[in-house]
Amino acid sequence: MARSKIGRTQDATILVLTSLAEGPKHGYALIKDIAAMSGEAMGPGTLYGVLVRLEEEGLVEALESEDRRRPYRLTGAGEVSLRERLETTTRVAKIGLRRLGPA
Amino acid sequence: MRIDPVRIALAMHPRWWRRRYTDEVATISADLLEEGQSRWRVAGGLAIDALRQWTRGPVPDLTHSTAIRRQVAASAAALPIALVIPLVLYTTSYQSYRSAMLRSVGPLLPSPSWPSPHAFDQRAVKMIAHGSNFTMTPTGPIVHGSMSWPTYMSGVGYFVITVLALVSLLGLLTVWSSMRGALRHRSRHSRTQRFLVWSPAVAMVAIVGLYLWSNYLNQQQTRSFVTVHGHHVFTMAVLHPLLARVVSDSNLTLGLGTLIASVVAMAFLASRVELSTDEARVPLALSRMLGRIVPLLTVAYSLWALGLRLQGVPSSRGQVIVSYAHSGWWPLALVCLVYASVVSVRAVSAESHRPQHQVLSITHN
Repeated sequence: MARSKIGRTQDATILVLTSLAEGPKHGYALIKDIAAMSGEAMGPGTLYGVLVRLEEEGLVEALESEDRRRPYRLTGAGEVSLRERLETTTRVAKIGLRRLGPA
Repeated sequence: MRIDPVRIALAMHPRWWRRRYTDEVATISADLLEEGQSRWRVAGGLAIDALRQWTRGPVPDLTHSTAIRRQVAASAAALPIALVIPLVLYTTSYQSYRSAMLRSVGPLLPSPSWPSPHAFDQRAVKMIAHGSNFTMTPTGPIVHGSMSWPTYMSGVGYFVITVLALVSLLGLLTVWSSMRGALRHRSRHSRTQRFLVWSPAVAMVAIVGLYLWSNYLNQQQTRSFVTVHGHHVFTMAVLHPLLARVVSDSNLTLGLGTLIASVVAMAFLASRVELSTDEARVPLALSRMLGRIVPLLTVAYSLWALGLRLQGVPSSRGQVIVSYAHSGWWPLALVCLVYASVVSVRAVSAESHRPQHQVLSITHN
């Protein structure tokens, strides 16, 4: 089923933040980790669209790097934001599953 | 030379993005391609992201340069209208009026045998001018209110489009002219940059020159009148047909001029220009104005197109309908206008909602 644009954007944001919760990662490592986590292959266009926005919002920050693979890490605000998003998602998921009843 | 779609997609991003992310994303893309991912899929994703970066509101302050930020906002607000106006003017060019009554008396050509072959009576001699029906009678012309409300609506839309297009064109040329003035003070210029510095002025002279030539200076253009009972009932420009097609419609001339100037502007903005606070003031103010014109132009264009669709066919009573030779392109132009409106409004909004610390830094510059 096709998802809404907002849904896609929020999913991608949560996926990136969740991947970075494990520790700093560069773009390629993020793509691999997200693919392992969700089974979805995120392209560099989508990834950097999210990273630019998160960096601007102060939720992630780029670290200095000697080579061209710049790592990113969660900021304090990013951790708080991820926790809130995951709690909301979990709450909604629980309600949804309860309403659906047993499979 | 092999065309690499990934490189093209990376080059489509705004300059601030390219400065900050190009190396990084190019490396990751190369890694993914080595893994066997589709080059076109990677490039497609990047191209979509490029569009997103151009159209999104806030530009991150990653470059620590307020000058670049202003430049991005100004060009993002002004460029869409520069790109859309030629299409808008193209679709609104070659206006003509038709009426069932007019067809009933045959073509109104200036002829020594006028008014034959039709016997002159109250209905025999009719002309259409400025959207009104005129009936010539022995006592003078009678103007009939023979336009339906959709035709009026379309006409008003057309008038507003023309005014806004002219204002936008002048605004654009002034923006580029002031940027040119700022650039002329730079000491080091390549030959290309020296050309670009002068190109807005050349475009302005060309547009004004064409307009003057087509309307006042062209000696070949004469007007023929047919006089019935002391009243001029028909005029016609005498020009070579091809020449007449080019110069008789000032909209098309202005449209072409804008198109040329737009291409120049893109090349101009693509060159390495960074404006100081003072230098950016006029271009930025005008760009904001242009960005706010686009939504108005979109509304006027919608009215124009809607009126055209609703006006129907000329009735037997001689109702006038207006038509345009290229109006079939209106859906495309409307889509472009809506898109340009979104881009311009967001760019203007991003510029005016600058974070406080940046406003202060501009003040102290």
